Amino acid sequence: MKFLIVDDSKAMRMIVQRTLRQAGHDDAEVVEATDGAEALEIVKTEQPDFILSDWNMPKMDGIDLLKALRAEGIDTGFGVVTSESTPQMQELAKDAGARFVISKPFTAYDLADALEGVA
Amino acid sequence: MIGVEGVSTAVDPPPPPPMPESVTIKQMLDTLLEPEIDVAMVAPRTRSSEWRGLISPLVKDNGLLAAALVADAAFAHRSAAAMLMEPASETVDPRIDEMVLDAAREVLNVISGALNSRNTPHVKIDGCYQIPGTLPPSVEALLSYPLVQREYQISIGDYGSGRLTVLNW
Repeated sequence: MKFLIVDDSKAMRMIVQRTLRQAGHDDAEVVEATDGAEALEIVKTEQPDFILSDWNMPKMDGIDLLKALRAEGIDTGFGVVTSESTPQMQELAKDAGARFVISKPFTAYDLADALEGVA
Repeated sequence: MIGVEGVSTAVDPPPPPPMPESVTIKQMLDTLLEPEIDVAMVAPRTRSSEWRGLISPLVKDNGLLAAALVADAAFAHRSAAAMLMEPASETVDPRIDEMVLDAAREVLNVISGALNSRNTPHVKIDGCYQIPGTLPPSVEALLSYPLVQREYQISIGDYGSGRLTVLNW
């Protein structure tokens, strides 16, 4: 299975990848993007099976990325991994089409739980 | 003569972001970082020209500055090292390189979640600046004259400890 990890922090991309493996996705192939704009291009060339994206990023944030993907008819599964923790913000993400929203910081259990059934 | 009672049209300003409790910061860092975390609130210091570290402004959705998080150099280095799972070191280089800046900024980003609540305007991190250094005027003003200043001494396992400061108008 191929995951696209989108976050403007290299350290956080490392953590998401590490936690993904701890969550049971040892064999996952991982590609990375540093913001939504870059991710939009990578999705077209790499065709990941699932996207794990931060929310607040320069150039294009996670929600705008999700909306852009859906507008182009790309229905790749999308999960938001974000420091945005309030119910209102989580609802915004789900209304845009996110399969789940995980608040930072998160554990391998949180990620495994969220990915169960969707990836 | 008939008096007309005036009706005030003044609007109460929105409440500022909540100041996080030590236990909240501990819980966040416990999950984010591998080492054992201890967080204790300590007496705030007066800002001095000798401060070294990072400041991350928190802005509301309208772009206005609401609060700021300040990591001293020790907390920036040690939390970054813990996040990157680098070997612990007692030395703290006052210079903050790109990797430390990236990791420490993300630590502050995670902590910023504690400054959002159901009853206060939404805030988010807007950049990360080195101190001393050139700061946006509003950030400089908040750093110099905060209305509320809360400080935490944070111990990160074998990495050592450092200070986190939360500033509010």
